[in-house]
Amino acid sequence: MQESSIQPKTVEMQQPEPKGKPRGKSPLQLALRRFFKNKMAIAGVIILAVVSFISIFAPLFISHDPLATDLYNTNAEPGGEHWLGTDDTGRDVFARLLYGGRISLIIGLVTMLGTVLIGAVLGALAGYYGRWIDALVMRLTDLVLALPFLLLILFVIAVLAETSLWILIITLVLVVWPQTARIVRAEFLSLREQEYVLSAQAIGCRDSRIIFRHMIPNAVAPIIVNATLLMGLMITVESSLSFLGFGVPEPTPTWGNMLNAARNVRILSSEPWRWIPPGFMIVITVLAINFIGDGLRDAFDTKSTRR
Amino acid sequence: MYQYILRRVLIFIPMLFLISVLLFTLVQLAPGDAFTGQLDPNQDARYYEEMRERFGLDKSPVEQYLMWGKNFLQGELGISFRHKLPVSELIGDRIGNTIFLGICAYILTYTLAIPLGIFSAQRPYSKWDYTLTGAAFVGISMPSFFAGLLLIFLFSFTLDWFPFSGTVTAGAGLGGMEAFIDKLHHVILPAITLSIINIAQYTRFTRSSVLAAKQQDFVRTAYAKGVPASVVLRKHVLRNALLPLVTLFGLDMGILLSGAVITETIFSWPGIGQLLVEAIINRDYPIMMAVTMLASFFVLLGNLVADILYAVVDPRIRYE
Amino acid sequence: MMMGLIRIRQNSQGGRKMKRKIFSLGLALVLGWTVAACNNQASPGGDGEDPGEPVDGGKVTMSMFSAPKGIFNPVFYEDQYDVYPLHYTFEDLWYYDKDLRLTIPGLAEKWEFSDDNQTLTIHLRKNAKWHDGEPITVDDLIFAWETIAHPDYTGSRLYMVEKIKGAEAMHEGEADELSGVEKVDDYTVKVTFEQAAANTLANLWATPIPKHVYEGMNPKEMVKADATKKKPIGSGPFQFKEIKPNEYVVLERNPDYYGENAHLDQIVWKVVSQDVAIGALENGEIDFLTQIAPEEFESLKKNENLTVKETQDFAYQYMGFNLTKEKLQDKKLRQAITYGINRKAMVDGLLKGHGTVLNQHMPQASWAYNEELKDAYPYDPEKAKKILKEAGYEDKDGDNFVEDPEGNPLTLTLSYPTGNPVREKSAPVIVQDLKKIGLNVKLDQPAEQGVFYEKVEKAEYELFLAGWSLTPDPDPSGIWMSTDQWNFPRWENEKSDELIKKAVLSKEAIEDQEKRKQIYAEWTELVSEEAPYVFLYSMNRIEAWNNRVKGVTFDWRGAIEDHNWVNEWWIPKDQQ
Repeated sequence: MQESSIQPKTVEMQQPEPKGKPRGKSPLQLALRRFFKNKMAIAGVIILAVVSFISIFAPLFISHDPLATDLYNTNAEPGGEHWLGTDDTGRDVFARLLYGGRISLIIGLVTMLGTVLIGAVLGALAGYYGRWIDALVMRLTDLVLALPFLLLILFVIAVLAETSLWILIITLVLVVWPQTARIVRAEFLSLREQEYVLSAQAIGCRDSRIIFRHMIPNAVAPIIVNATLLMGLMITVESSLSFLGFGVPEPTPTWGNMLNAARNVRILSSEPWRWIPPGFMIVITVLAINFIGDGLRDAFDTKSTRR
Repeated sequence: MYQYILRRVLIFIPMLFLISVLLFTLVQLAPGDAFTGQLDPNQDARYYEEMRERFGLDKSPVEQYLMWGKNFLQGELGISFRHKLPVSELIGDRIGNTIFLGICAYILTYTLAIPLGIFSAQRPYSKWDYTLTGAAFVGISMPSFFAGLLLIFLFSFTLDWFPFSGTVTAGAGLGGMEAFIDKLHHVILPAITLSIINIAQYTRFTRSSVLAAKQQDFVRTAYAKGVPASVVLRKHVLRNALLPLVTLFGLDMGILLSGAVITETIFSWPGIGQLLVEAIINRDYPIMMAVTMLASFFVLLGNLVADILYAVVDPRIRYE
Repeated sequence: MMMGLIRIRQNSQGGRKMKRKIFSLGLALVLGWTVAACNNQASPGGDGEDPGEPVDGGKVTMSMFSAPKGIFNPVFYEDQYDVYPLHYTFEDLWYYDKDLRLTIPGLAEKWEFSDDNQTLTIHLRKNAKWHDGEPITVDDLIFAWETIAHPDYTGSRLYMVEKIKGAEAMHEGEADELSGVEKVDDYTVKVTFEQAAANTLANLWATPIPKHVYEGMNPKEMVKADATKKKPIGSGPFQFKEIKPNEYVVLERNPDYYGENAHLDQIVWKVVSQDVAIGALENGEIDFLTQIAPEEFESLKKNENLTVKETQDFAYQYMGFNLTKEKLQDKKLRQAITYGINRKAMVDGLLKGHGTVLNQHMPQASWAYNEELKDAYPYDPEKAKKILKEAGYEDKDGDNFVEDPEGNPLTLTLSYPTGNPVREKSAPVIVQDLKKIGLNVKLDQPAEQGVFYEKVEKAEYELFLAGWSLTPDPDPSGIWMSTDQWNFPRWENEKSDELIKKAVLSKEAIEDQEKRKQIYAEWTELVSEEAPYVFLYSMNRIEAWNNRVKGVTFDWRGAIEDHNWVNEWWIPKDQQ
């Protein structure tokens, strides 16, 4: 959301293509090469990998059940049995942090995938066929984009009246897809006039083949960049929704609803073990994803060097 | 140009119409209404029947929509279920606060982000640059409610520098300049909270724009002919690098309005964001509809302003 | 307004997440919040030390978690925060004493019932004035009643005049005035009711509003009038000074109060979000805080600038059984579940000990509380298992969960609404407890309150968590009669209906509270045996204030609700 509003504007002031770049490699390889030269992006990849690993394999690191309450051991300080203490129903904060990472990453990942799927298909159809399909899709995106993002999500969640992880994810997807659709469409509009597409059409390739075999692979760069940034954004949005009371409901742990403990000024000042870990995890994960997204953008953007 | 603006404004009408249909449909899909959660055993069922009738909830969806639409066009945004007051009045009471907060956030964004971005771009890949870039990334990554609470904790409770709720000091009875300063004093923390993300993004944006502009041929030429660096920066680099920033002003309307929802809630800032959260919790649909419509209108307007400004600052662009 | 305050808080007691709670009028019984006995010892701030002689001056700041709706009229307000300033600015006819009886005179000097208990004569005091100097007469009282009975009145207080003769006719537009009301003179009025009842006084609207200010307006205009929104004219020890919509309300001393004038110059109510209110209290930015979550208690206690008090509340949480579902119709199963839930642990863990386990509808603070039921269902998982086994619920397929007597798998679903953090936390705890006695309970996704209660009403759930907030008058009709809309378990029992009616309408109950109590004792025991609810807990009301404020009284209704001797509050000169 935020990123994309800036993205298109940067194009005009790009620096001219650097001279003497190595030839004979595929654009993807070149991009990867550039990507791996970017220290921040590498840091992002490593952080994200570590975070994902400990979340996915949480049971290897912790034996506590993140849902097991212990009413006689609530708000315990870190140490001993509970490494990061317990929350107000006596659940192990460390276990919730690891398992919560799963949920937060699932929200980020699934929303991103859903968005990319819907956005890419609709964007591709609109960009490829043009005419009424294009008009229809574009008006739809106009419509959704004219509604402030968070307001629309709140509206939909309020209307649904029940929240769960999947309802939340579906809502997020429904609200975010237009952005991706627009990016894909713009890409397709220019690809449509490319010679290889025209010649594919001329030899009678099926449309689906042209779209999926020829055009999508060429539009993949902006999609990936957009997708990574979206993933980071979604993790932040989940925590904001938790704050407003519309996040993933208890007892399922997410970083967002754990961080919500910090809304109480007493916990903020005297029980930092309750909020520093989830806060740190959110910030560092989103940071890592943003680094990766930024790195990818620079890497795919053949006109730019490290700026 | 005027024709272009006129045409764009005319497009608002079908857009807002479609948005209203979309929102109205969503509302119709919702189970229950504002009166289902309101249980008072001393009250007979008749009361709820009467209330539903009074607010037209017993009519068919199409009838309800037509009724709503007709009133909306006449400037009547409906009656709030909960407040029992015209929604226009509720919004009117609060919109000034949201606009004030928004303007302050914009001012903060531009006055902080541009110098920081330029500063960063002047010494690329230095420690300062990395620090600022890192800070900007943290700013982007931090949920704004968390940032707001940290600010309150730090600047209100620990340092006691700024107030943490309301727009003015309660019952202080200040007037004139003092009242204005009091208001500024109150707006600082909410405005920072609201603008953190934008400050971070604009800083990064300014930095990369300036860096890119510095490598343009005409800049190199200017340097080559021996124009002083500060003049080059001012006359050539900044002028070109910062033009697009102007248009972000319009494009960020949606982000700002979304942010206002959270910021106003934390700081008890009586604006339309807070009104909306309250309405959503109460399923007060007239308010939800009106505020969301208004927000959409602002977003559309923001986009238009962005496009116009773009044409104004960049003579290469012409609208027909 | 005292009688008519819809208590929002209880519904979602406890918590930090006021978000939903403030705004949703949710499940609340009406609670009359009134002054208890004047002879009730005031507990001065700063325990133990001698505060010295009261002095005038100073300002007290209070917090509201959300903005008041700005309807500052006792007849019309609906928001919790509208009523707070109204407590100090509008007087009632009479107030509750410490035994929860309406015996303390307010604007009424005395009142008496006729021998048949159907007619009430009220004598107003003659020295009370409105804030604009006009005398308060029975016209103002009758005006309040007629405003509520008016066909155009859309507020929620109709039931508080409904029992007056002729109210129905007036509400239907068939009459212009209340036939049951007879003005004897400017300070005396006779009211006749449809029938005699034990709770006539408790259910009668008792707050006059200034007729001369609203003269000639119909209720629709009254709600919007300046006298409601900008400059309300009241009768209490404080009067409105400034109202800044959505931000604050400033009250100042009423120099012409009929009682002892207030010491404080001003009371300021300002909006502070609940998330920061605790910090603001500790910082001295606000002087009073109510609705404090139990986990805050200890840390506030440690702050030597604060006085922290708690009292039992007239509210409780329960788990209801939907008796229209066949699988929940076995009383034995319901009893076993009651034994199998560790409610003591909930009070200790979730409420940090600031509450009580409850076994009946009557809160412990009520005179109708039945001592006999105090320990009716102790936590006893072994006994629970035994009852289940005896009733034929056994685990035959070895999955650790019992099957029903016919041998079919038994699965129950527990549903609960959002909005009350403690209740939300209790749901998974209940599921775990029941698992220990072999019951397979699934946890439903929490639903938004409006939707939740709609489904509860339609009897769609199986097990559900909800709460009630009660009036000092113990009459349980409205939620416990077989045909009541809010009889959520759909528990139909003739005996129960009979007892509930008898406790209000029978001559013995009207004349002797002890008799009435006995009837309720019989009724609570019946409910306990049939177990349509598992009564869970009643959370204490916890309030705290800055020690600089002296002369604060804290009793069963807390420190700041109703006008609670606010005129006695004072601040030492050096702390003003």
